Amino acid sequence: MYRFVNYMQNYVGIKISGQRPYKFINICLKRRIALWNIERISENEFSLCMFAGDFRKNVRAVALKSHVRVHITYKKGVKYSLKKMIARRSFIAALIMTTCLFCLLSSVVWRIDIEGADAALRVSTRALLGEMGIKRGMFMSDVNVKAVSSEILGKDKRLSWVGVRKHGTTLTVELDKASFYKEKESEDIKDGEPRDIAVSKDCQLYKITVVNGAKLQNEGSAVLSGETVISGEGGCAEGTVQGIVRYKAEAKVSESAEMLRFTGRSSERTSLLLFGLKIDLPAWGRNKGDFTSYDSFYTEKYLINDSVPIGTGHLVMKETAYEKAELSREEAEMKAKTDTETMLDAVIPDDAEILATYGCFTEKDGALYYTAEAEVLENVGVYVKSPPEKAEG
Amino acid sequence: MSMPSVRIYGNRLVQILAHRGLCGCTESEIDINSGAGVICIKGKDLAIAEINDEYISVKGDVNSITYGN
Repeated sequence: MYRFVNYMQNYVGIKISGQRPYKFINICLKRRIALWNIERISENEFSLCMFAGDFRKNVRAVALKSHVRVHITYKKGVKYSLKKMIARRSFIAALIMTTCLFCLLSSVVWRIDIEGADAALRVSTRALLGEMGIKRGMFMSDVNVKAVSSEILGKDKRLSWVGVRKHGTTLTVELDKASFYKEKESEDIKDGEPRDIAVSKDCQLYKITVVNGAKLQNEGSAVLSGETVISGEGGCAEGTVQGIVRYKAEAKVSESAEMLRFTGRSSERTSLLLFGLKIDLPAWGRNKGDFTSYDSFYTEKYLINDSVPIGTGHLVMKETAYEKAELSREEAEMKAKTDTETMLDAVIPDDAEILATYGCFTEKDGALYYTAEAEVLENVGVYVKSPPEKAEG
Repeated sequence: MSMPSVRIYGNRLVQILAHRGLCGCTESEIDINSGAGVICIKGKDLAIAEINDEYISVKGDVNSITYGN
């Protein structure tokens, strides 16, 4: 350590010769100049070491005062080593090359870490990254973290969030698995087995009718899917639970849409109806109607005012195809409304009572959306197995 | 006048604190001026390892340390 400090501060080895070399040493001591490795060479000669700074500043005056001659025997230290190195072209070239190599290598992706979610998702994400061209050895500057994260998120629907982070030469991809809302379904319970009644959906309780068991929740309280409302208390819970469920649907207002339209091509088929039997007649020379998408209209005619079970059937098929259509603003808004209503209709149970509906246009990310909501009164009670401790009690 | 303090590490190293400089130096004898007079270190292959205004370190085979005038 001591030698290293001396090396860093730079020092010189000198030889002093004269009548009174001791005087030189003692003057140095008085001037607080540190000396070391003092060796006597002869009666009037000494070799010693001192810091380069002290040598520059003081030695000339001390030597004059003590009447000794000073010769530098060697110089050591960082400063002198660097001077020597800089004088060599090959060293400079190596230094530049090393710096360039260091810069080059530190701007490359050396490691791709995928964290979070489960193993299957991590494996699929790694494959996805490979498809996207994100691999080890590519330049870090070529990785657009926002684009990568949004592309992964768009391609893998099982993910709810993707974070891509550059850290040195490591690219870290953090995943968060999506947890989708799932309705509680009625469980398979054997006769006589203890059971409770829980709610199948997140709702506000409207009416609870208990036939057997104990009511755990009150009307008006909000409950989450799977929460028990009527406890069987070790027996079979019986009753009905009605709740107000809120449904929501959203559709983008787009001024271009694909619409199903008739292409103008049609085909007709005639069949013979004999006592309930239907015999298709061949379509000689006519359009055979091999359409991939079509609308059909079928009519039957029987002889003598439909009193005889003999007649003909007539099938008309009109080809349809999706065509891209430009819509006006009003038409686009109307389509968005219709789409959201269709989506709501699909999720609202048939026996449910619609209490209220709301709809509004909202702007998100520069696009216009129509959001429709419906408050629906429906039966939300489902049978679930009683927890073991309750069943035992 | 500060009195010198002498530390002896076996027979290999002698450290003298609060010295007043060097009087003489050979391979067998080193004389050091101090507030208590001249301290004479005798031995074989003696050398001054380090010297500054606080202390002086003498290394080598030390045989004796004596005080003179």
